[in-house]
Amino acid sequence: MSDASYDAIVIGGGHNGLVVACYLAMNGMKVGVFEEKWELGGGVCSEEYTAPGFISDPCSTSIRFAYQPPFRDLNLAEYGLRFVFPWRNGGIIFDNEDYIVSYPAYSVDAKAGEMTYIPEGMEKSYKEIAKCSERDAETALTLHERFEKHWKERANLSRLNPPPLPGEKDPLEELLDDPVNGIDPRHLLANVGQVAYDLFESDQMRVYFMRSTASATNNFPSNVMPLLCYVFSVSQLIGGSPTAVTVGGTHTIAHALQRCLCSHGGEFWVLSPVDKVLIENGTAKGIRLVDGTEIEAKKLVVSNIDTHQTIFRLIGGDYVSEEIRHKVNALDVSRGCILWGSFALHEAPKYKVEAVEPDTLTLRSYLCPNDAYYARYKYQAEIFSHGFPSKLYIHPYHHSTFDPARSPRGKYEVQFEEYSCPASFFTLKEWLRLKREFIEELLKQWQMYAPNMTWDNVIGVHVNTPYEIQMRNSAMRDGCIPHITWDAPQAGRNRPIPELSRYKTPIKNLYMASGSCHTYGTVTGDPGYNCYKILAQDFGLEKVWEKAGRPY
Amino acid sequence: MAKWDGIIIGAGPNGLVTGAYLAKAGLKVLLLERRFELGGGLCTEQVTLPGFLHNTHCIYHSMVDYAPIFDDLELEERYKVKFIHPPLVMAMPLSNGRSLGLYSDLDRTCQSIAEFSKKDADTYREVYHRYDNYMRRFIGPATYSPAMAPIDQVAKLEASDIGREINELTERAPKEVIDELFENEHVRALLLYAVCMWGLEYDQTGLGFLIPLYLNRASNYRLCVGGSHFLASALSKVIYENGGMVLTNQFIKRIVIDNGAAKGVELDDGTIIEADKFVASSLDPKQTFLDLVGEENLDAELAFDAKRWQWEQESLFDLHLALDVVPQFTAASSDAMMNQAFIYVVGYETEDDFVNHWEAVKRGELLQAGFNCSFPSVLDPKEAPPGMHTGLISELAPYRLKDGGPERWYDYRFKQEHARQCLDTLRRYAPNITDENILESYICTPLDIENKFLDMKEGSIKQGAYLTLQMGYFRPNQYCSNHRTPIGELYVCGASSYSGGTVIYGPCYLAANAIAEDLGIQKWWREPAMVTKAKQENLL
Repeated sequence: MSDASYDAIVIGGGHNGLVVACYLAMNGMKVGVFEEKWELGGGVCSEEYTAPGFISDPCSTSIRFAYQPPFRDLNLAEYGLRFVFPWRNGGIIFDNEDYIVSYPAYSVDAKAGEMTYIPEGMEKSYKEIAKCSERDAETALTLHERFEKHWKERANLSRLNPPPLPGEKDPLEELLDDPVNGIDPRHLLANVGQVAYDLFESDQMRVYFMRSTASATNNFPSNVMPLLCYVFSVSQLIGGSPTAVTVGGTHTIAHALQRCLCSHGGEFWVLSPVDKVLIENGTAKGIRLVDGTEIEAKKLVVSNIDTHQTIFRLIGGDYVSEEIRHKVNALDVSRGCILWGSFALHEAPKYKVEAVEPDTLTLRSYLCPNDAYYARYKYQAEIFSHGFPSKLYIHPYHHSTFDPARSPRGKYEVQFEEYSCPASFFTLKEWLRLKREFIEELLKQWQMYAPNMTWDNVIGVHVNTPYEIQMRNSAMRDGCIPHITWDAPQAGRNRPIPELSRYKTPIKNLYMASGSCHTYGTVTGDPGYNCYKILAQDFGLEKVWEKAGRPY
Repeated sequence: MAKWDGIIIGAGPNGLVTGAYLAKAGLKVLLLERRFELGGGLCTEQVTLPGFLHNTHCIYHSMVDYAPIFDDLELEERYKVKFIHPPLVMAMPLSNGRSLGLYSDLDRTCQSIAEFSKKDADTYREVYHRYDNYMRRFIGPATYSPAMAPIDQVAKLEASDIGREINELTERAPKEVIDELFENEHVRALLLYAVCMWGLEYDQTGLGFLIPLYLNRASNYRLCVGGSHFLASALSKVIYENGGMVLTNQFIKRIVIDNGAAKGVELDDGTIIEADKFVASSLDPKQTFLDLVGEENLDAELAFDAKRWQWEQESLFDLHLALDVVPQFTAASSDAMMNQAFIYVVGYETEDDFVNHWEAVKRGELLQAGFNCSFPSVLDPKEAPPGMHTGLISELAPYRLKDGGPERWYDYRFKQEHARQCLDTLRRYAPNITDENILESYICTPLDIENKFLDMKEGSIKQGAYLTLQMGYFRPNQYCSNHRTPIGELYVCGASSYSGGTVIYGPCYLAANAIAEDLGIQKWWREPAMVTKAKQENLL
């Protein structure tokens, strides 16, 4: 392969890298994707690691990809990508048998990738919240209306365009100056716990806000949220961001992208770690693999791996200013480290509250002690000393109810998350011991909500610790799934750092598109899409958004 | 006009190869796979810890030096598919610290056997040459050549010395042949295991041509660099590059039959996908004919044959290991190569050890006896993080447990306990595989095999038993063994068709040939030289 040459090379086969690669291939460029691991996908991966026939997602599972531009632009439904957006989308069950079901405010046509507003979503959610507190229900309703009318479109404009230049305002930032329909500016200076307490009065809603923010955005109660993150976090509780399970496993997203790529003449190579970007006169000219093979990139190179590896290994410190090197080194990677596993079961968890309200078995649920004080202060402290908290705030995904493909007929697969600490806090062997302790504690506490969650119900179990998460994906340093924490200083126009937030690097024709980039990860493809926008500008490529008639 | 010329059901190795040949021939092919991952038995998964690539089904590649697909599809040149043929292919460490080995170098094998019996060493040399001759001149070519009716094949073979020998051997049972040839108990044990490890019964007559095949292959297995799935991925690239497509998570409700011909498939959600020229199924005959075609579209004989298809009596209990150490076999103190073997046969030091185990399995019982095991990352470092290793224990096991039936295999504690017993056996030979050195493990039972691969019902890894009534010309039955079926435009190409199961690329190669011939498509590939020669010698 030493004489191989491409127009564009993408380093890393994660979903953002594949998104860019597909757009470029559709524009007629000859694209090559080089992935260090043995399969494509990065965070969009699936394994049958509890038992054969039971599909789990070791990384991303809650997917909002179906209503993003790449899904439609790349025609991914044609390549076998299907989602299920359940009506029973989310909710929380408390240890005192209170519960709140969160209904989606949108129905999603997962084939066409379109969302339609449904008023009954918020109507029902309102009643749910009102059981705990009327005031909280009113607050939620107000937030919902503001989100619908004023925040949502600005959020789309914000995340589906490269960040504004210095001196320009981001569409969301304008909301901080609007006391009527905007965002309370104090909430951008307060930590998640303060926001929870300021917004809501009930323990239940405070716990719900703190725990769901942690899961959706990787911010603990002590973190300060960035603007887009705040909007996203609030939207969790008001039906604003319906989520789906990917039929047959999240890895199907990688398959569909790969098929799109190959159908347009693109190529991919696995077990092909890249050592360096080849640079001549400050311009990217190609890559060199770890095995020494050099491959030419006639036009451009995109790095889909994390900023740290991009700057220090691919480019090399010499080409980069001391300022940039220092800031990249200082990036925080301590949030987004989780214990994330699955059970293969004989039967679904049977929640006591289901007898009262069957809708409590939702795709993504929380099983939480109704203790806001503990959640705000002690939860995180215990996680950082012990690896997991003594009171578990369990976050199950009831996959098999909504995607029967994930388990053999009549059996059940459920995933679960709890927050944890950076991988470097413990050695591998300590993590392996810790997770066995965790599994025992998990079953014990799960039984409080669903008495059938005993070892007799278990066919298989697997837990990923932050250590394993970094073993699986070298971009997730220290187990940080979003590559770098998504808190106030590491977001938007400052993500990963101000000098690198527009998808470009100090090297000409070397770009970036990954979870380290300005919009943050989760599986939306936003970084890949935005990178493509920059490339379209720089290389005169098709402006797909104009063709599709959308403002972003 | 339909979008696709042909639909292939199942994207395991057989479906993929059929698709690759036909896509390259200019047909627009669509592969539909039920699982979320293509490759079928060519699967490699991180089921313990990330970075540990476990080959969760096919690991010992048996026909790399015979199957025409590797040269035809340029799998190495274009897609970097590589295999390792290790110096020590199959090893039997003994509890007294000695060992026996089948090497890729015949002289070394004979040297190893001579330590136990000089006579057996000489016999092995002679038998090796004889069986290698059978392979090169007949068995190999026959694998990639259409099945002949038994009467015709036997008659052809009777006309030559080599053919007569093969005919005679066919009537005999593995243990009978091995006992006649060899005298030493350990040599007999190793060679009997080598012949029977894929599910051939030790006392089975009528399939004796498998004896020289498996004995010859015993020193010829290869490991796929980067894991078996790498090969599946390469095959899919051939399809994509030639305008084909592979879709996963596809649940097929039926094959659309129109005027007695297969014209497409209907998915579970009602979508109809049309196939202009053919539909090929790589599934087992029950799924293909009874579920997908439907009895109403079958004539009585075909329905009857499909219904009487037999699953295998024995399956596998697999234990995958993520290790923190290089396994150290006690036997390596007398022969350092013992830490570098590809396949270890452990716990079966005499034929009785193996036979007793087999009989127990037939009764639905578990026995702490023996198994084969492998540590692929020792030979292919890509398959584990630096300094760490993958391991696989693969043990004969019943699907239908006498105590509790197949469902008992779901019992978490029962499985873990059985795994512990396997590890106890292994530790007698490689004591450093302690609990402390096992970072993580993963179990796959016969029931798990059935859950993973719907066509491997009752854990049937070959898609159906190797019985004389469903082998050769009768695989799956006399109407379909040449890959055409009584239903127009419907073909079969899976392991339940000739030339059989495990990953040998026979059925798919032959199906591709049959489809190309029927459609009048120019074959871009040539008949393998070994087949031409066998025809010239009138063996085929």
